[in-house]
Amino acid sequence: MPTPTTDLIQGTLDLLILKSLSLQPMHGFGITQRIQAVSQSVFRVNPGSLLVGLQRLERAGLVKGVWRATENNRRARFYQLTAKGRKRLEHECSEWERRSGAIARLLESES
Amino acid sequence: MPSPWRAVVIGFRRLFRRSAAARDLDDEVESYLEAARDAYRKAGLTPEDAARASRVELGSLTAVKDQVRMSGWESVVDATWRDVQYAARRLRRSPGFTVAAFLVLALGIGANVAIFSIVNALLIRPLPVEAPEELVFIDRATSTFTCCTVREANAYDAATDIFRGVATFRSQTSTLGVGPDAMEALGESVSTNYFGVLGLRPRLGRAFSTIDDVPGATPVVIISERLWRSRFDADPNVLGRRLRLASRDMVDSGWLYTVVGVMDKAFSGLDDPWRSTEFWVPRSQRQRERDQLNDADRLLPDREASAGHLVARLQRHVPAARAQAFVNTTHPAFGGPSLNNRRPSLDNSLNPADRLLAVRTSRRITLPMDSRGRIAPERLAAALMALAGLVLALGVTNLAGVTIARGIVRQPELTLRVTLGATRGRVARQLAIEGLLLSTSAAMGGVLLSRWLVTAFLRNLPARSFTAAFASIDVPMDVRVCGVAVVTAIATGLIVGLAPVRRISSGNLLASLGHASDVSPRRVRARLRYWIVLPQVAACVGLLLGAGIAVRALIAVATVDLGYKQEQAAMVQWAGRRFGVAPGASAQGSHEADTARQRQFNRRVLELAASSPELVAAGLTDALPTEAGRAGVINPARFAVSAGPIDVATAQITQGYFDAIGVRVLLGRGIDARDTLQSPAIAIVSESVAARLWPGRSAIGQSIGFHRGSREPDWLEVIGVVNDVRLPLSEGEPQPVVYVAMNQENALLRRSTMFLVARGKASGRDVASTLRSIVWHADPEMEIAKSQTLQSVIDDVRYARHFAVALLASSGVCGLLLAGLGLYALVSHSVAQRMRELAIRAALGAGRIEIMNLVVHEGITVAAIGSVVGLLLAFIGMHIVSHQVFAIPAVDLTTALIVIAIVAVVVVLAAVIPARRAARADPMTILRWQ
Repeated sequence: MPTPTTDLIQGTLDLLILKSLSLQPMHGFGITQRIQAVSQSVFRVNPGSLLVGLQRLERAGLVKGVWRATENNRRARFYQLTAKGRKRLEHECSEWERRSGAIARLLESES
Repeated sequence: MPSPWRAVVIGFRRLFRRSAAARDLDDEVESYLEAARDAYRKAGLTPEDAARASRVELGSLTAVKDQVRMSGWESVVDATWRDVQYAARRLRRSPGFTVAAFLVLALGIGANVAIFSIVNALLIRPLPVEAPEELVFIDRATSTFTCCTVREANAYDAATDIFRGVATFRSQTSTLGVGPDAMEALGESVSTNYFGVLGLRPRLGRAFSTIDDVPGATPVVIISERLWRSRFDADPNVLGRRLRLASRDMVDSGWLYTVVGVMDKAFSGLDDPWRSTEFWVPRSQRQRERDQLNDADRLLPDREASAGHLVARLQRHVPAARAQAFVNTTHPAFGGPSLNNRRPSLDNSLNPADRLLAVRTSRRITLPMDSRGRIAPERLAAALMALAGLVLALGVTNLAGVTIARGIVRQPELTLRVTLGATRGRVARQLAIEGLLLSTSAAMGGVLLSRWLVTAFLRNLPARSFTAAFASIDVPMDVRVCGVAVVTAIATGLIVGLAPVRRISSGNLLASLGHASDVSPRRVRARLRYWIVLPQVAACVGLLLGAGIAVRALIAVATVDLGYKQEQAAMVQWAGRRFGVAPGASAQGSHEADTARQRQFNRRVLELAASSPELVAAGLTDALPTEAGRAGVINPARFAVSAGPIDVATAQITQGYFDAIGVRVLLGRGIDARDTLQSPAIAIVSESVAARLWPGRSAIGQSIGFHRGSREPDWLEVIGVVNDVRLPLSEGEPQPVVYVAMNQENALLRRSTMFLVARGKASGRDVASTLRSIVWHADPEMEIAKSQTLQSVIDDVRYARHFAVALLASSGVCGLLLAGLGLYALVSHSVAQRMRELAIRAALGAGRIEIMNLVVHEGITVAAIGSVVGLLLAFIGMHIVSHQVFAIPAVDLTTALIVIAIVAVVVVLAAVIPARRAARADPMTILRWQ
């Protein structure tokens, strides 16, 4: 890989999962791929953390997991956003923008 | 926010459908892997490369699954459950340790819970009344004499800006019923607002009301639940049935009272918390009874006016201090305006300090063992709890010591687990669970044991006659007791379990694995040995010393020379003043006739006793040397000598009394046929009176004057000196007594009760029944107030002391058991740890004797240092207790030596037994085994 991968910024995994799922329901690896692709391989998701994160979100009622058959006739778990999850995503997004905007302003004033 | 409900449901599904959950997780991870492989293949990798890349991507499958599995709350439950199973397995694998630890903890916790439930039942539990914090008690500040007249009580009751209500109560022992069914019971005569002020309602029937105060009202009684069950067979229709009450104090022939209520068993009266009150009667009715008896009224005007103790409920937001200020300004003793036209003349006979009134926020419990009220119950409770805590602490430190020692043995295992990836927390949790498993099961055993201990303790108290009274006290298993059991169990479990954890991290894996049991360097081992065994020895010595002293005090009290002989002797008591006094029939002027009749009865009884073949000697007295009044004196009276007045005890006796009770005449003579109504009035004094009044001179022929109020003293001639008597609770001080002749009694006070004391040839019990038949023979109608052997009279008085000492001694015995067990385990364990060293020494040619010497030497060193420290601690502890709680007899050399000898034997035995094994065994076996 050309660019070095970085671990996710602390506390953003949930946000990234929710965002990925907002387009369409997908399974675990799909989420990994999507985060990697969209971030142009800057961020790398640890599969263990991802599965734990999905489980956490499912327990919180933000996503819903459904078993579906894959092309190879295997069971795979597809996750989709719930209404509550969608609301949470909006909230988290605006929150993130507010914070990152603040950080950006701070960095600019520094230079 | 996580929705907790969904998390719980999912968690439970995973816990209980374990295989389905595992399959789901497997499938999810597998499908992840597959999706990754597909993705890489699509990106153009060969199947092999794609498989490898996806593997790399995912990392260790097991680690991922583990990570997921560990994330939910159920994983904690799951792991804990595994830990419990593992701990149970481990405990099963070393049954010796498990059984010993279980026993030590169960005994420690059981003793603790038992002592706490007794202390709780007797000393701590708040009064079972409504809002007990609003109640105050008004009493004399320094003495236990009751404080107020009826009129004063009523005046306080009317002060509604301070008090919501003021009630009076006074305890009295009465005889219930007649004939063979008669029994003595403790009751209270109370004001009719008593239950209202306390906020209590009877479980059946009604409380008293003002109609019961109306002159001519039917006499009514409220009985205790216990009495209701025992005497009325829990009859639901008990209301309206009648109960005959004859008061010992008030001297009447008994009155019929109608039962109007049954009080719940939770409430057992206010006066003596150590005995339960069985009935309550309105004070006004008792008063009326006495007015009808007439006689009593004339003789004791001061007590007549006294209402008893006062209990008051404060108005909301009125602090006790304001009530005190109010009492100060209104009570005549402070110069305030009198609430009463007539100042109580009792006040005149008291010291100024004794006249002060005190408003106390809590019931002041006067412990029966301590009639002068010097022991604060809270302090006694604290002392007993501290003792129980010490016993438990011994057990716990023992176990902690042993587990630390075991921890050293287990260290390779623990270190290995840490090295294999277990976190320290996880290992600690596992050890804590092991400790908790042990301690909670031991606590359950301990709670069961404590019930048994309480029952056994109450049943086996030395004074049997008091046990009945005590058995009426409920020792309940309340929330507080359970709380104590739970908290001790958790604390001990954690201490015992976690003791070895501290040592894990410092462990060096190679060293641990390489030299199985020789992991602790010599220095650490020695430190361990000393820091664990030494305090054990010290605490053991201290506890044993305490127990030894308690037992010795018990023996000292039991064996103190009372100055008389209670064996083969008994007494019977009747109401002296009932003679010829029919209720309502007594007229002024019949007094002389009554006295004559009484004299005749006395003479008749004495004649019958003299002719009885079963009796050796018999005599009458109006005061027994067994029970002191509240002031600590048997029957206080003031006598005059030329030097001024002296306060002593006094008793009126007849010829034969000294022989009957076993008091010896030392000088002069006792009362005999020469002393009649016409002959000069005489007195006999006890040794201490003679020594105090006429030191160095003969008491015979001296004069002593009896004071009655302000009148000129009646002068009596001293004709004899007898030995001193002591109260059953005293270890030393004799009671100074002046005896006067009863048949000259019209010169002196008339007392309300009379005792016939006799000594027989057979047991005291037989003597008692002989005496009863004599009294009934002389007057078939006579009601006997009390008929007991002298021994049981003394036991009745001593019960509380026995109780306290028995508590101390049993804690001591528990302590000894625990300490002995623990000491043995520790010392033998620490010797066992040296096995390797000893074996090498043996292999190098050391003889058995030398090896034994080595071990025994160490044992003796530990025992010696520990004993010295223990003695010091014990001295300091007892000094504190003596000053803060109650006087403990000084430590004597014999007790100290016995204690040290016991401890030394235990320590040396514990050292020698494993050492013998070491010396005997084949060195090679030990070295290889280790």
